[in-house]
Amino acid sequence: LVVRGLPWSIEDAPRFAHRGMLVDSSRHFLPVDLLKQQIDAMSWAKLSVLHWHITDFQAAPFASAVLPKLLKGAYSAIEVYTPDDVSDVVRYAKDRGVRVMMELDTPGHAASFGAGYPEIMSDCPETVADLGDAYQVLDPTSNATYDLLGQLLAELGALAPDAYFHLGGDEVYAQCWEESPTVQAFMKAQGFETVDEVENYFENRYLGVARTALGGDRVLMAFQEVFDNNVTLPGDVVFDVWKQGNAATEVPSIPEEIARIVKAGHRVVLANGNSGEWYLNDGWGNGNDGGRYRSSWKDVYGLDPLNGTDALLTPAEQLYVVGGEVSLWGEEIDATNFLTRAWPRSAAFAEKLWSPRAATDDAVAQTARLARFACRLNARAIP
Amino acid sequence: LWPREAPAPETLPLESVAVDCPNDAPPARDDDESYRLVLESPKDWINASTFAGCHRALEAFSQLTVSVGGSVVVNSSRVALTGRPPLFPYRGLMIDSGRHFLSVPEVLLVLDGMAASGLNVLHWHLTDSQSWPWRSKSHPELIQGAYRSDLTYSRADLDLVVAYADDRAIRVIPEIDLPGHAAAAGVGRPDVIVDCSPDDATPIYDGSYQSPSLLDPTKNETYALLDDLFGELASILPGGAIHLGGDEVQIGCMNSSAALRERMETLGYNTSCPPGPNGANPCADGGPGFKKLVGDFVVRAQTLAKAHGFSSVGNWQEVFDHYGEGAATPTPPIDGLDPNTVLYAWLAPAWGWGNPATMAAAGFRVVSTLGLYVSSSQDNTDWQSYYSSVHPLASATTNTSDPGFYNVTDPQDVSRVLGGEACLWGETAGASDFSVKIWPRAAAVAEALVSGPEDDKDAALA
Repeated sequence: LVVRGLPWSIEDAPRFAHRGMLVDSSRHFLPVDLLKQQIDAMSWAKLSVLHWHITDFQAAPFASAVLPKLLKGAYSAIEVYTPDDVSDVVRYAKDRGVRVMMELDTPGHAASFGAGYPEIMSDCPETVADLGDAYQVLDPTSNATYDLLGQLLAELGALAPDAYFHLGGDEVYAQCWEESPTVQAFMKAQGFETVDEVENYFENRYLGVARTALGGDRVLMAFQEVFDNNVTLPGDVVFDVWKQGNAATEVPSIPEEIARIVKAGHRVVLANGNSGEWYLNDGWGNGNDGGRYRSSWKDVYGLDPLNGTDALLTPAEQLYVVGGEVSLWGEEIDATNFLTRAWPRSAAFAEKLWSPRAATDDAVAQTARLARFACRLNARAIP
Repeated sequence: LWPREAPAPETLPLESVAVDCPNDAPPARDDDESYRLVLESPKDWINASTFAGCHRALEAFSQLTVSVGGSVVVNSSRVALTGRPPLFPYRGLMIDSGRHFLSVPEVLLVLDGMAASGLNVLHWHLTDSQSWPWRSKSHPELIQGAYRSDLTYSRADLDLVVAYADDRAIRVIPEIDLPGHAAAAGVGRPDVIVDCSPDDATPIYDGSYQSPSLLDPTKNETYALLDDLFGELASILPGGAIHLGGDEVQIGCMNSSAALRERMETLGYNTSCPPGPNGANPCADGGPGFKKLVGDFVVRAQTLAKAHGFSSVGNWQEVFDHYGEGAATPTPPIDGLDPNTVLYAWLAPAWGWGNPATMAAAGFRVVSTLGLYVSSSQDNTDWQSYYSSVHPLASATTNTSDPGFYNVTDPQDVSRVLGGEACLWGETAGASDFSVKIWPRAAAVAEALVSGPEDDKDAALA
């Protein structure tokens, strides 16, 4: 081993603190060994947060000790994480300087909980029959729902003690609650006129449950829909921005969505650009472009969290944008293609978020650095 | 599609499984790969007549097991399997370390995947025009053609790969592509490369795919070099098979080298050629003398290889249909071509050259790569086309524009079709994506070559 040119010293610090990757272990189960390889690669790229989207409507792969029927929602008996597995992954990550931000996505994206606990699902059979499990939503009117979520949050929170915890909240489709007689009766009793108000009720109550279950020091994150649907949450909630605002809010671009949320006093993590640059799962079969990735590494590198906000936010406000994430949504990703889908494009993202803005605007200059890093990954058995 | 309940396995206490089969000879093409696997406590045993058969039985056993909560469970109450001989004895995968280097651990990983799926030949396209990664002991100068000094294979590396393959009853067939696709050899040995660059300023070898150079068939030094290299490979794979390439020889290159033409005339080769179709590029398609020279080279290389004890020689199909006598296309086979040559079919039958049917009818043995290239990015369903590219006898197609596995209808010819091979050409495949390109498509190919494709695609998907 030869080090040339001594003595020299390096002082370095990242531009953004939240440099994350979302992994989705519900749509396809991701074995623990694969998660560890992923964490290794993240540590080599100095990425700081593994956002573990552990459950979704297709499957709940967690062998909860406090909710033993939850794993009826797993794909199979072998595609589950035990609490020890989760601890193992969190510890492995910690030893490599990677934080694990756990996400328990509710009230949508949770139909899989119904396999073991049907009593916490809203009663909207026609919606589900017509539109599918993606449209199933948890029952916001039932104490049982909040009790169960509280227990699960406490368990997951103890296993994943990071300061940040993600509460989901995306894609809560209105149809289920509009059908559900229980929810409709509840709305009448509460004087609610729209399901947005039901969502507001759920999220605030869920937030309260989360604060108790997780401990008061946690920073809670939620997907932007919670903000877009006029749910009023305390200012310390961080929003996960991944699309333009919904039609009701008439926010035509992501930078404008960022600005809107920041001006309301919340911090933002950027998860995508207007062209889908940071959804790395988009590729063959899902927005692909003739067999190529929809987002080349240049597209990934070209997205900056502050893109388009210079005219909308002051420099002080821009500090509320605390970082970004690339996502490996799992509909078409499993252990066979996870690592090649994630790398080396995530390394382009990693440099973008670590190095100064002025030094990361030239994709051509990055080419050689990325190529060397890709070879380094290959040499360390990450394809 | 996915059951929510775990299967309830019947527990079968297995204390040991008696494995009764020989373990001494390296895998051979004619191995009987049939086996019996019986799990019927207390008599649990595997029996086969060759190590290859035993290996297939062990893989089948592993496919019966499931790991549940820390224990390994066989998912049946009684198992008695008789693995019949596979449909085709040659079930290959080709990797290309000339275009993109693959490290030894990566090659071993490929072998693991092959063992799991029943592929039994690793065709290793070792060198090409872009790079020469083989650190030959007899000719160390050749390693200058590697991409970089650490992107190379030592003798120990090759021995390791062969031993690893052996343990999995997989034969390794190395390929040194000759006389074309060999420009990288010219980096260390410019004297054995035909210099057909247009002027002194243009390098012989520009590292590109179209690099129009080839090994010089008129020089004794060329054959001396090959003799040494074959001897070295023979010491790594004694009695094994070797592939000598022969594809895409740039005959136009030969005509543009005045020095070569002079040597040809001295050796008595005719250097005239008819004009091209529109008068331009005379000899682009090869005058008779040039083709004869290429043909003689191929035969001489085969002879040298066989003299070192290689039991079988393979070549790409052009030796059968491109370099023979006459102006018609396809040409007849090269004059003097070893009749035991295994021909590797790769040109689509629709293009009017030879194809597995004509090759087998002419008495040659055939391995087909038609429709089986795995070099390209894949989508969710193309495993099905790979699966059905391997046609069983009963449904042989008469559609000559179908790039199917083979179109052999005469039963006598059928026995000459040894099998098929999925090819991972390396121009756009390498360390970062070799696994995701090979698998699972090559596993679909493997099943089709072992059992023949099933009509029920859903059953095959599971």
